[in-house]
Amino acid sequence: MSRIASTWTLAVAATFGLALPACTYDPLEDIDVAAIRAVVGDIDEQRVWADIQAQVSAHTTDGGFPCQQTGIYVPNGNCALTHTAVRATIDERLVQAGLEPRRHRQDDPIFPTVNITADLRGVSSPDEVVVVAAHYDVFYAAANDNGSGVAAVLEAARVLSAYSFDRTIRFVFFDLEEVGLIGSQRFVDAWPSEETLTVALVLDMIGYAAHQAGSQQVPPGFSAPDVGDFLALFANGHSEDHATQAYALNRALDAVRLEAIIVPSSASPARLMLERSDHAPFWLAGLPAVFLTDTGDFRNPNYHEPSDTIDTIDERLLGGGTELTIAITAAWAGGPR
Amino acid sequence: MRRLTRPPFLAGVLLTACGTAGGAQIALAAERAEAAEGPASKEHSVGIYARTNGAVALTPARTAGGAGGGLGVRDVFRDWLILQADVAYLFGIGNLGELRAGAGIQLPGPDQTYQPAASLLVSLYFGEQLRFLSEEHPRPVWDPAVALGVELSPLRFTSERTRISVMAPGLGLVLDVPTVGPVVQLTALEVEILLP
Repeated sequence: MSRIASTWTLAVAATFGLALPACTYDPLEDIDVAAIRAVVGDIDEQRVWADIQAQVSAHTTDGGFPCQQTGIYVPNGNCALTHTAVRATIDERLVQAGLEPRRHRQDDPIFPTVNITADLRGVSSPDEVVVVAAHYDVFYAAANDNGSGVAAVLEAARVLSAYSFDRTIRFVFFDLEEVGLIGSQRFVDAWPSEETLTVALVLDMIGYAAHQAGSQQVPPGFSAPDVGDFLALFANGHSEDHATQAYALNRALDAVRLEAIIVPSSASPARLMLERSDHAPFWLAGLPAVFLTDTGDFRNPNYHEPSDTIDTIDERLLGGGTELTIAITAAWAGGPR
Repeated sequence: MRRLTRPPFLAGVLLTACGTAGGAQIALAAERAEAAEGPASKEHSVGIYARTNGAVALTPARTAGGAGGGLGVRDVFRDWLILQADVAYLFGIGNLGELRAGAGIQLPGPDQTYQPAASLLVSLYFGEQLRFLSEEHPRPVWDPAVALGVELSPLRFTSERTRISVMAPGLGLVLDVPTVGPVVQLTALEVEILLP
């Protein structure tokens, strides 16, 4: 009798979209939340702030992008794009974290790129790699786009390098995102065949908040608040489990106000609208990637403008975004150990 | 006569499923050629239909929908009770399947040609969609989305072997326990062949 009843329960649940695994699956089952809470306790928010300032200073001294040499049209003030001087700042911070920065140069007559990476090698599954990445090329001396993302990855490198993890964590700084995701596309194309990508976490703008009603533009069909004081986390079918874990871990840590959105994996108008940053080459290659952002020009009037300065950064959003970044990177890397 | 006209009739139905309005004209032309064969049974009038349609379902946990088309089967019992089921492919937000089943009534028009109808439908939407995590839904909602709704067919015309409906709107609710949201449907064109 009870067997018949449970069969009917299963049938009714399946019929009405209440599949039982959805009720029993715990996204934090394999994650040591207490240990991760201890890890994020090492975050130094003043250092994150200082890293943004250091990037802004470097970009200010930069000569700018040789746009006339390209001979082609690159949108949105390409002559104001800077990406050279800041490389030394990134290298310096990685070395201070005890990591060894590596530069991956790709010669090209128009768009040569230099991606910077540093590995924290995994102890038990070193060929499984978690990527945490941000682009370092910016328009003008942009503090938020993407000084905020780079600073969060640098802080992740500093904090996480004090621990051990099952998987390798690869800290990546992409070049030439702003002119067409060039650095990240080359990074994906050159992915070593002997390594497996567990997931890539891509940060692009995590520091701008607006607190008034109506400050957040929401495209049709999307469900999100109209107050722009949250971070958005985008995943697709290949990374929806990671998004679910990130959402659950964020709730457990109460790190930041977070909206998590899972988009279709196949080509569609909805997905095309969300392929504007370095997660897109991963998605297009069928690789798992998650994108964390303050949604950029859907809320920020300083987007790609000289007014993207450090005084526009929201300390609380930046701190919460950094905490979430470090927490989910640690969780996906299988640690700390 | 049957052997000659049935292929263009079916072609017309299939063209309609592909969004070609001309398919309806082909189907009607073929139907006129077959009219001499006599009326279908009044007890059960069974037909297969093709339709072009769109739908969007919005809840706090998901947005699903798109435009496309599909095929279905319908039985009209004693000229008033409708039983139907259909399947469609929709594209827009992602690749989405739509499966509907339901019952309704049709009103006999003054000349038995104009027959507006209303149906109560259960719709299942399965496949790619936008899904949102929230306090109420900390995990992605599962396929399929289940909707209960009403479809009205105010512009529905029946002749001897063909039934055509245009611009039939539908409205309902998607159940994403503990939340609900609206589903809006529109069948732009439906062409049905009545089986002998």
